[in-house]
This record gives sequence, structure tokens and C-alpha cells, in this order.
Amino acid sequence: MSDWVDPPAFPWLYPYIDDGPRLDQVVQRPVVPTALVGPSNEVGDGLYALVDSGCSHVLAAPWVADAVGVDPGRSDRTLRLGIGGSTVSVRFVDLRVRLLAPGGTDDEFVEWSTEVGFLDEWRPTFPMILGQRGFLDEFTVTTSQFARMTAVEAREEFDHRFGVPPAQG
Amino acid sequence: MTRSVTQARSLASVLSEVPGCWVAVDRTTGEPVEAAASPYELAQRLRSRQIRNVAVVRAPDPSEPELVGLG
Repeated sequence: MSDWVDPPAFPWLYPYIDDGPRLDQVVQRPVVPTALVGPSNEVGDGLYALVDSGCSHVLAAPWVADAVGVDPGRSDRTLRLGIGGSTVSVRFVDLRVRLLAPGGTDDEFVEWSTEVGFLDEWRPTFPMILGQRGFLDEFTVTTSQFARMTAVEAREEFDHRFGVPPAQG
Repeated sequence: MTRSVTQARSLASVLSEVPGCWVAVDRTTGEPVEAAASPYELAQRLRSRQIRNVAVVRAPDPSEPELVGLG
């Protein structure tokens, strides 16, 4: 991971974001602002991204790839995933991901490289999903429905807080 | 020091005004800055107006059920 500018110190706290209204209901989600950076340094617009511990990958809507100048159709790294009750094909591309600081401008961020999976069709309201590989292995992330906040800290913070447990096979 | 933000306006109230549209929201104020029927159109408008410091999200249709099992 590399910090391209001098971002504020962790922890970064993000309030949960409304998802809705639909069917007269509003649910609140752990969401953080992000942006993607393409291979030629094209920086996409800020995106609200859902933090999803049940997802193994970083996934994004197809138009996001267009915005940063990549064509997932040229990738030979594909995977079939079950999403929302359907099976879809996902094509992975190596990109840089930015986590934008809470309350900051587009110039306050931390950035890292990971593979991002693009779907041909996108149904979620949030244009990106941040899962285990490519996000939750980069930071220590705490979500609290009670506080309705998401806290992002350096990934070593988990070990500082809980010790270093033996790895599970 | 902990860095956090609280938005002045709820996102639900913003999204309820533009159902089905893609919306760019000012990340500090929570106010909508631009909206369009397609994300491609929205991205083009943001670029042409050089709008920054926003986050993009889709406003669900009011009849759309909650989506689970996202990834």
C-alpha cells in the first residue's frame, strides 16, 4: 500500500449510508467513498462502495471500468460467481483503488493495488463492493450497526489490539 | 486524532427525489450535485463540469426489493 499524499491519520470513521427508500424501507449499510485509478493514471469519479465481508473480492460496475480506461473484455482472468441469486461471469483487471478520507477532498486518500472484478450487468445501488481480498486484507475494518459507523485503521491494528493469534489452516 | 464526517442531509431523502437515477452526492454536505438516467451520462456530465469531491450511487426504484447476497 502507498500513500500518495499526506492523508489524515487513522482511524477513519464513516457513518453508515442509507440504501433506499424502497418498499417504504431504508436500510443502512457500511459504505466508504472510493475511486479507481486506471493503468494510464486516469482517476475515476468518487464512488460509494459497500463493505461486504461476505464477498471474497473487490467488484465493480461495468461503467466504472470505462471511466478509468480499461476493457475487462480483454482480460483472461474470469470467474463465475453467484450474486443475488444468479450466476454471473466476472472479469478481473489489476487496478489501483483509493480509499478517500472521511470529510476530505479527492486529494486525501490511501491507495493500493489489487485486482478488481467487473460484471457485465450490475444490480446493486452502490457501484463497487469491497470484499475480503483487496480491501479487508489491506486494513483493519470495524463495522458497528450499533454506532452506525465503519472504522478503518491500519491492518496491523488488529494484532496490536488482540495479539497475534495462530493462523488457522 | 480520529477523522470522521457526518452528513447534513440523509441520503435517503436525496435518493427519493430521483428514483432510478444515478446520482453524484457532495461527500461533505450530502447534497445532490448531478443526476442522470445512466451512469455513463452522469460520468460525462461530471467530467464536463469538472465536478470533484462527490460520490456516485444509484437511487433505487421505490418498488425495488432489497438486494442481498451481493458478492
